[in-house]
Amino acid sequence: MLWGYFYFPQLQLDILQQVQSCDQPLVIVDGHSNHVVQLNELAIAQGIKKQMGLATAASLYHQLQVIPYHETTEQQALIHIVESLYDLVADIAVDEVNGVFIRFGNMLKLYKGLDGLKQSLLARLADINLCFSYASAYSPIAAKVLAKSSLNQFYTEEEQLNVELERLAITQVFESTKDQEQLARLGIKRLAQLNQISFGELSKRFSHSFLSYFLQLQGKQPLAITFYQPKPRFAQEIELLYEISTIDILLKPLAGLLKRLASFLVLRGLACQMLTLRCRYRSSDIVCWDIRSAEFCDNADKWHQLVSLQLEKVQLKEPVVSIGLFCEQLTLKVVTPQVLFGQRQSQLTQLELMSLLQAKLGIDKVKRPTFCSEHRPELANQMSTTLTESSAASAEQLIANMRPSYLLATPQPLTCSIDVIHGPERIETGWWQHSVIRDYFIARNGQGQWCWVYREPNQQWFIHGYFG
Amino acid sequence: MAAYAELICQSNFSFLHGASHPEELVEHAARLGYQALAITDECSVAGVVRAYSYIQTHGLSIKLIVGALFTIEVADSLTAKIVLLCPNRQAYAELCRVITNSRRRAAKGEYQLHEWDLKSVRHCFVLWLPSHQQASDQFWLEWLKRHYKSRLSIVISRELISGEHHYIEYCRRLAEQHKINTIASSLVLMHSKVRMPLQHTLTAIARGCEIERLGRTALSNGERSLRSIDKLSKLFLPAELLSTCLLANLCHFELSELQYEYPSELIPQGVKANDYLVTLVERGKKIRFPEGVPTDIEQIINKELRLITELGYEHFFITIYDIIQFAKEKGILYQGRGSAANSVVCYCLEITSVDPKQISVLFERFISQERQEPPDIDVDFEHERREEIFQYIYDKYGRERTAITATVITYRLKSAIREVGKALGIDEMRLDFFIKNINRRDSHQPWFIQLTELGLDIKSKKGQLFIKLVEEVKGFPRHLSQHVGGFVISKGPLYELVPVENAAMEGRTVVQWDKDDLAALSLLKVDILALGMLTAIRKCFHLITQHYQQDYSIAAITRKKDDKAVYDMIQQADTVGVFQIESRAQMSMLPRLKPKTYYDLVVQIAIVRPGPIQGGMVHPYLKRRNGEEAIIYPSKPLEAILSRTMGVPIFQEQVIKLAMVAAGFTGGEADQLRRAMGKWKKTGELDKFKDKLINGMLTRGYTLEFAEQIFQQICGFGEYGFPESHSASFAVLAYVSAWLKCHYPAVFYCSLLNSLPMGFYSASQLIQDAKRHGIEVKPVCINQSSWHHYLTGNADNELVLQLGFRIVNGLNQACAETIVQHRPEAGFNSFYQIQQLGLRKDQYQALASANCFHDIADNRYAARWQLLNHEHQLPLFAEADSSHEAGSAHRECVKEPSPQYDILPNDYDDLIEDYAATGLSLNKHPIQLLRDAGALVRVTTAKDLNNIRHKQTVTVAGVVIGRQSPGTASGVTFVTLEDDTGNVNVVVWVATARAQKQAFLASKILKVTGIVEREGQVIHVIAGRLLDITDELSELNSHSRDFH
Repeated sequence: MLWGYFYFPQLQLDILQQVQSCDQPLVIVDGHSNHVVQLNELAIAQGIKKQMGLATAASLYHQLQVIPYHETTEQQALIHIVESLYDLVADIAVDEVNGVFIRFGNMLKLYKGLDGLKQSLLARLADINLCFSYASAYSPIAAKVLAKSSLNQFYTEEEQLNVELERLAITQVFESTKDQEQLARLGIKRLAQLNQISFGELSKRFSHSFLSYFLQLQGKQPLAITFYQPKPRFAQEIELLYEISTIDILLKPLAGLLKRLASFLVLRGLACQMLTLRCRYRSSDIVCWDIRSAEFCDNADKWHQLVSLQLEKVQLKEPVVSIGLFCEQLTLKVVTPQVLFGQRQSQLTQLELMSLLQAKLGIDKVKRPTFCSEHRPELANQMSTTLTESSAASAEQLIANMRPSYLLATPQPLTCSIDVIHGPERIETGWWQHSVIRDYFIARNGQGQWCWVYREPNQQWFIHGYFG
Repeated sequence: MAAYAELICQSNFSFLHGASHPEELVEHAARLGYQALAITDECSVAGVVRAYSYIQTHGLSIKLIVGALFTIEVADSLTAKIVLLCPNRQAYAELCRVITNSRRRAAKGEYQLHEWDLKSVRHCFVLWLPSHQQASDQFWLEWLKRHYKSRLSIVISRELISGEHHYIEYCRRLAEQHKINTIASSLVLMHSKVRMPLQHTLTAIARGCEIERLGRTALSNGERSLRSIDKLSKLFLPAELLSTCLLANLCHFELSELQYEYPSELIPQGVKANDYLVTLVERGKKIRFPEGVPTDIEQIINKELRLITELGYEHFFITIYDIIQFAKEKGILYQGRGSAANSVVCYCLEITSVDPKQISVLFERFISQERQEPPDIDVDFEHERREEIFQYIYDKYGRERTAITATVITYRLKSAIREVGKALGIDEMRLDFFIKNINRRDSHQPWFIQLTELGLDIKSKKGQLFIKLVEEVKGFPRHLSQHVGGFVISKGPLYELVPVENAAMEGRTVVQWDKDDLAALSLLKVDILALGMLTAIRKCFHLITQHYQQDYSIAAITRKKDDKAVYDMIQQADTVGVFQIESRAQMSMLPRLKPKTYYDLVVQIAIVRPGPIQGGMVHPYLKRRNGEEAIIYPSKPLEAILSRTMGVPIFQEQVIKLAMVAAGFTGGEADQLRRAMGKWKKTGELDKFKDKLINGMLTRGYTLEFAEQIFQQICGFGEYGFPESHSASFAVLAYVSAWLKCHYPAVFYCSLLNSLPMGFYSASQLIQDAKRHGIEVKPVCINQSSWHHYLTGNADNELVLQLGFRIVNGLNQACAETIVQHRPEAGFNSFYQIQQLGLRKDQYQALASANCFHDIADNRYAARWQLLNHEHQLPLFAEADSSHEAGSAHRECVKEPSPQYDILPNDYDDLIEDYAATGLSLNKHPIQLLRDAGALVRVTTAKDLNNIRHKQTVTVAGVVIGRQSPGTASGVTFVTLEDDTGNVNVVVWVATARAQKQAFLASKILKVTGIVEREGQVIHVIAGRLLDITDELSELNSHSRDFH
C-alpha cells in the first residue's frame, strides 16, 4: 500500500506571517527548553539556528522578536489542513508532529495515477500558503522520514525508494534521541548500515520499541493510525415550493427543518446552543440569523419558540426562495437526573426563561448582575450576558461585604444632607490601572433611604448606591 | 498629643508579606513620635537585629520590643492568631523556644504551633486577634484566659475595611464581658502607604498570580501602615491607645542583654581560660619558632594576649584550636585565612600558617577595642573531608548547642525582573529575553535603559510601574538559607539565644540570624570552609610517601628557602593547576611581575584583581619593580608602610595604616573606612571620609595632589582590595602547589585530577598540560583502572598516570568497586566474565563507550555490540557459556569483526566517543586531526607563536576553552584557544565581537586571524577575523567555560 506524508516544519511561523508581516528577525521559542524551534529568514541571516538557546540567539541580535511556541496553534492549523484536504482524499490522518499521513491506496484509481492526485493535493496546499515538504513510500513511517528530509517527490518504485531511504542519516530516520545515541555509539550513521545487520542480531540488542519502529519503517509492521473523521454537523437546505414574504409563513417550513434537526440530535445523543438560519432571497442575496439558547437543547418545539421570538419583528426585504438550517457546534447531551420528591420546579427553568427573553429582546438586552472579586465597586458589580445558572453565593457576598443592592452606573454628586451611620470604609487601590481613592460611608438621607456614599480626597461627596 | 506604641508590626522578614525593611519601620515610627515599636514577624525574629542596629547607629529615641506573630489551629478548624511579646530575658528565651519547636517540626519555611508550646509560655505578653467566628473565638477565649490571665490583651484594629464596625463592637464586647484589656493596633505591614503597590506585588508573587487577579485577597487600602498619632487618636478610644504605652512600658528586654557564653568543657578543670590559652600559645611558640621568638614578635604576642583577655575572647580561640587539633589528628589539612592571619597568637596556635616575620601584621585588623565586634576566623579544610569536621562539631556539642548561621537570600536584579514582571502580567518569554540581555556591569547604562533598547516602553504606565517596583524589591529578603560553613556554638541551648529552624539539607539546622546579625550582637561564629586545593595537596603528600618514601607537610615545604626552580616555573607562567595563579589574567601577569620570593607571590595574588587594576596600582608597581620609575616616599612613616610594595598601596591593611599614620585616623576610624570601602559603590559612604582623609594629610604636611591621589586609589580599590593577611595565606598554598608541580609533576596532576571538581581547569585541560610536561597518561582500562586515578611505574621506572573509572561519564563508584573487587589476577579476558558481574546495562555501555575494554575488544563499537547482546544474560545461554568456559582456556576476544556487524571507528569517531564518554581524549587532539586532514593550512600552533614577531599578522586555531569578560576590561573579551601544543590567548575587542557575533559567541572551534602583541614573554593575539570552524569537526562535544 502506498502512503504519502506532508510535513509542515513551521506552522506557527507561517500563520503569524500570514496575519502580519515582520521585518525583524523573529524566533519562536519553546518555553520549556528555551530553545529556538522556528525562525524566519532574517533571523537565520543573523546566524541564529534551530535548537539554539534563547540567550545565544538574543546575544546574536538584540532586537530579536521572540514569540512563545504554542502547540495548540499548530494542532488547530493541522486540523484545518486536513479538513481542507478531506474532500480530495478520505484516508487522511493528523500526525502529532507537524504532519499529515495520506493513504493513497484506492485514491490512485480515482485520480488515474499518482500524478493526478499529487497535482490536486499540491494545488490545494498552495492555496493555504504554508511551507511544507512531501514524499511517498510503502510504509507511513518511511513516507514520513522521506518527507522530513525534503525529498519532495512521490515515487512508486520500491528500488528507488530504498535508495532514498538508505542514504538518510540515522538522525533523520529515528526520532528518539535515545535510539539515535545508541546507534551513534555503535558507529551506525546511515540506515544502509543498519539494514546490513540481520533482524535476529538486532533483536538481541535493542528494545522492543526500537524494533517495532524499525519494522514499521520497513512496512513489515502496521502503524496504528486513526483517520480523520469530520465532526458531526447539521446542514440542511430546502428550496421552497413558492416564495415566502413574511416570517409567519416562513416558520412553517422551518418547523420541518427543526424537526429534522431534533431527530438528528436525538439519534446521536447530541445537543446544541446555537443555530444559523440562512435565507436566500429571490435576488440571490443571503441573510443569516444566529439563534441562541441559554441551555443545550435538542427539542424542536423549544427551538421553534426561540426562532419565533427572535424573528417576530423581522421584516423580510424580499421574498425568500430557500431556507437552510446549520449547526456546527454539537456536544454530547448531559442528562440531569430528576429528583422524584424534590422541590417543585416551575415549568420554565431559569435558563429557558433567559433564552426566551434573549430571543425576544436581543442578546445584548438580557443581562445578569454578577459579582467579581474586586474592591472597586464599579468593577466588582458587572452585568454579564453569559447565561449560566445563578448561585446564591453572589447574594451572600453582597451582604457580607456590606454592599448596596442597587449600584448607580455612575456615582452622582451628593446634593442632599445625610446622617452618616457607619464608616469609613477606605478603598484605595487599582494603582496599576485605574486608581480609586474613596472613603465610603453608609448613611441615611432625609427620606429615610439607606445610601452608600463616598468622599474623595478633595472632599467632594458622591452617592454610589442604595441599600434595599 | 496622645502617646502610642505599635505592638504588631511585620517587616519584610515575614517573607512576601511585609513590605518594608526593619530599618525603615523603626525610622518612620521614631519620626512619627511612637514611644515603641514591636517587630513581630511571623514565627521569626530574623529582622529584629537589623532594627536594633539601626536604632543604635542612628541614636533613635524609640524602644524596640521583640515579638512574633503566630497562627495556631487545633481540631475542628479552631484557629487563633496571636502575638507574643517579650518583656524580659526569660520571655525572650521562651519565644525563641516556641519558634524553634514550631519550625523544627515542620518543613523548611513553615511552622506548626502546638498548644503545648503556648502552655509553656510563662513570661510573654499575649495579644489575641479574635476571628469573629463564634465557635473558634469561644474556644480560644476560654483557653487563653485560663493560661494567661493578666498577660492577655485583645487587639482592636482599624483597617477601614467593610463591616469593621461590627467586628470592633464584637471585640470590645468580648473584652468587657471577660474583663480583658484592649489595645489598639494598625497591624502594620509597611512603614508608609506608598508601599502598598509593592505589598500587592509581593502578595501576587506569593500566590503565583498577576496583581489584576488578586481581587479581594489583596489589601483594599494602605491603612496597615504606620499612621500618625493624630490620626490614630481619631480611630481608637483613648484607653486603647493608652494601653499600648502601658504594655510597652512593661517591656524592658533589649537585645544587648544577650550574653554569649562559650562552651566551657574545653578548659581543664581548675584552670582559668586565660591561663590555658597562654599555655597553648607557649606550646605553639616552641613549634613555630624553634630558634626562639624574636623580641618584636614576643611583644606582639603579649599585646594580643592582653587584648584577648580584656575583650574576653579566650574561649573563642580555644574552641577553634580544639577543632583544628581534631583535623590534625585525622590528617585533614586545614588553613586559617582572612584577617586571622594578622594574629601571631593564631600562628602559634597553628590556626594560620602565615609567618609573621614575612608579612606586616596588623592585629587591629583582626581585633581592636574600637571594632566592637568579635573576631572572624575563617578556616579552610579539605573539601572532601569537611563533613567530618561538621560531624565532629555536632557530636561534641550536640544539636542543641550548635547550628549553622543563616544567609538571607534576597531579590537581585534578575529575580526581581522575573517576579515583578510576572506579577504585572508581562509575558514570561519576554522577561527571559530581558534577563538574558542585561549587562549588569554596564555602568554607563542602567538596566532599565538597556531594557528600552529591548522593547520596554518606559513611558507607559506599566513600564514605569515595572521599573519602580523592581528597584523597590531589590534587596528584599526572599528566604533564609544556610551559610556555607558558619557555625554558632554556645554553652547552653542555642534556642534560648536565637531560634533555630530546619535547613533544606537533611540533618542541618540554621539559626535565624546571619553573620552580620551575629556580629552586631557580639555572638561568635566559626567559619568552617572548604578548599579543593587542600584536598589536592594532602593527596600529593600521600602519593609522595607512597612512591618516594618521603614525608612532607605544608610547614615543611614553606620552611625550606625560596626554591629558584619553582619561581622560574612561575615566572614562565607554567602554572596550570597552581592555586590562585592559574587564571588567564594571572598567567599574563606572571612574566611581567616575575615573582622571586614568597612575598612577591603575596603581591601577585593581591594585585591581579579588579581593585588594584581599577585603582591604577598595577602599572606603577610594575614600572617601579622593573626600575622604570623612581620610588618616592612623601615621608618616612609612609615609607615604612609602603616600602614593601614599591610605594604603591596594594593591600587593605596598607590603606588602613595610611589613614592612621598619614591622616591621623584612630584604629577604629580606620576600620570604619575599611568597611565603607567595601560598600562605597552601594552607599557612597566613602565620601564621608574624603574630607577627613585629605585634611588629615594636609595637616601632616602632605601635598593636596598626593592626598587626592590616595583617595582616588582608595575609591578604585573599593570592595575588591585584598587584605594582606588573606593574600599571604593564599600565597602559602600557591607556593606549595607550585613546588609540588615543579618537583613531583606526576603526583601533582594525579592528585588534582582526583580532587576535581576544583580549580580553574577541566580534567581534559589538566591532562593536556600533564602530557606537555612529559607525563605518560594511560587510558581507562577494565583490567588496570581503579575508581581513582593512580600512579604506576613503566619500564623505565618513571611514574605513569593511570586514569581511573571516575573519568567515565555515567559510571558510578559502586560499580567501579565491584569491577576491582572481582577482577581476576590475570585480568578479565572475556565479556562473559564481565557480564557475570551483573552490572546494570547502562554501566556496561558507559564502560564500552569509554573504550575500557580495549584489552578484550579491538574497538569500542565491537565491545558495545557485544555487551548489548542480552542473550548471554538468559539462564539457558549463561549455563551453556559457563560450561564452555570451564572446559577450556578459551579467550573470547572480539578481535574479528562479526559478519553482521563490521563497523570500525576511525580517528574522528574515536575522538567524538572519547569526549562524549570521558570529556577528554588521549588520542590526537581535535586540532591535530584537522591539521592532518589538511584543514589548517598556514595556521600557527601555540608553541610556534613564540617565534612570531610583535605586530606580525598570524592565524591561529583552537578549541575554545574559555571566554572571559572581566568587568574592568571595558567590554573586551579574552578567549582562550587550546591546540595540541598549548594555549593561545586571544583578545577580542567589542567592535570585533559585535561584527562577528556568531563566530564569537557560538563557536566551539575557532580560527582567528589577527595581530600578535608581545610584551616580553606574554603573547596575545588581537583578533581581527573570526571564523567558526566547528562544523569541520562538528560533533565534537567540548564544554567551554564562560565567565561573564
